[in-house]
Amino acid sequence: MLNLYTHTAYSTEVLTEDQLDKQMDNLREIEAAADKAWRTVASGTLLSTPTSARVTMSLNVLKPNPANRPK
Amino acid sequence: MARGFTRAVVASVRFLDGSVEGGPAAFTVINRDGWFLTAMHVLGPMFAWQEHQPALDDYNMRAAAIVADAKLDARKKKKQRDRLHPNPKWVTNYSFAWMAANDGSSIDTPVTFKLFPELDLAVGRLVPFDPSWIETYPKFGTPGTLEIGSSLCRLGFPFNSLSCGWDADAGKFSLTGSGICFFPNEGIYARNFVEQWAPQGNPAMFYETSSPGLLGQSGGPLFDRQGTIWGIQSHTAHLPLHFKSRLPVGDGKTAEVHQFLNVGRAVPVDNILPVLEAEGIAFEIAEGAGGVGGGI
Repeated sequence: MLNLYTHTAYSTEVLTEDQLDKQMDNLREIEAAADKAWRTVASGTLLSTPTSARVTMSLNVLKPNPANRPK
Repeated sequence: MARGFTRAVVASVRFLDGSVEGGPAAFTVINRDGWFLTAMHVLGPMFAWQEHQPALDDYNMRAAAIVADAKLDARKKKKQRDRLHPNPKWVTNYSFAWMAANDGSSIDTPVTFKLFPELDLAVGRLVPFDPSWIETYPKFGTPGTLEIGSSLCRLGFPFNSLSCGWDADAGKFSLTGSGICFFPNEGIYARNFVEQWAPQGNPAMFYETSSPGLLGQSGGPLFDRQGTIWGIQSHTAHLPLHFKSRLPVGDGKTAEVHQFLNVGRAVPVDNILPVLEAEGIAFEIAEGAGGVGGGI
């Protein structure tokens, strides 16, 4: 059986400061919009998360890249 | 032990400009019926999508009308569309992959939640759910019995390099990477902290620990050495230390940088268990739990 959860992280590309800043900007955009939306949510509200687009869990997420293994 | 009931959820978001972001957070499965807990803010992409949807619909309608206008040539169509000034960061698609099973699959059917914004708590149920997906079912500590100074641990999925993409042909997100690793960090129970988490409702109490919760641990358990759950990781606060350090910032210049203690705050069992009882959701209390590792 394939094991999604591993004990080992493999190195991947290192993000530049600009890329990290862009990621943080995107996260802040989501947080700001989400904060506005959930101001209207009352305690105990029932809500479903309809998936607007399914996630395809690509199998290569489970296959470590040998090139990234520790030497 | 906590690995047995802590699972990853990967949120993916696509913006109008085509860029895609995504990453894992955590959820904590609590019983054999598939009920689980997570932090409500983990569902942020869905709320962002809801917030942006009216403006996005309006933009799409206006853009379609311009495209369909036979009186306009291509140059005028482009000019008119440019005048619409859409926000490139409107959320056009989002998805949550609930990875309850340890086999690489995810539950991507709609998941129904009860939301408690003032607590930053969401209680959800996985359907379909196979109880064998979870190796160990958790027990909760007794509210009001945890001693200050108790050794605790937080578990989740920070520092994972998942790459989220968009498959335009299939209209789906795709994920690539090298697997998802657990990452725990330790902290002691420092104090209770009451704050107004959501603008509506009453202020709520959180358990504060001496170390930060990390991006990717939200929704994961805060537990003791026996694996007993005392809280669900919510957020991290930055307490000013009133120290400054002087650091080089280039060109021979330096800047004084304020220092902070980053502390994690968790939704406590004191607030979780009454919700579960009110909803009729089964849970188990650990025998003799409480007062572990305190002694200050």
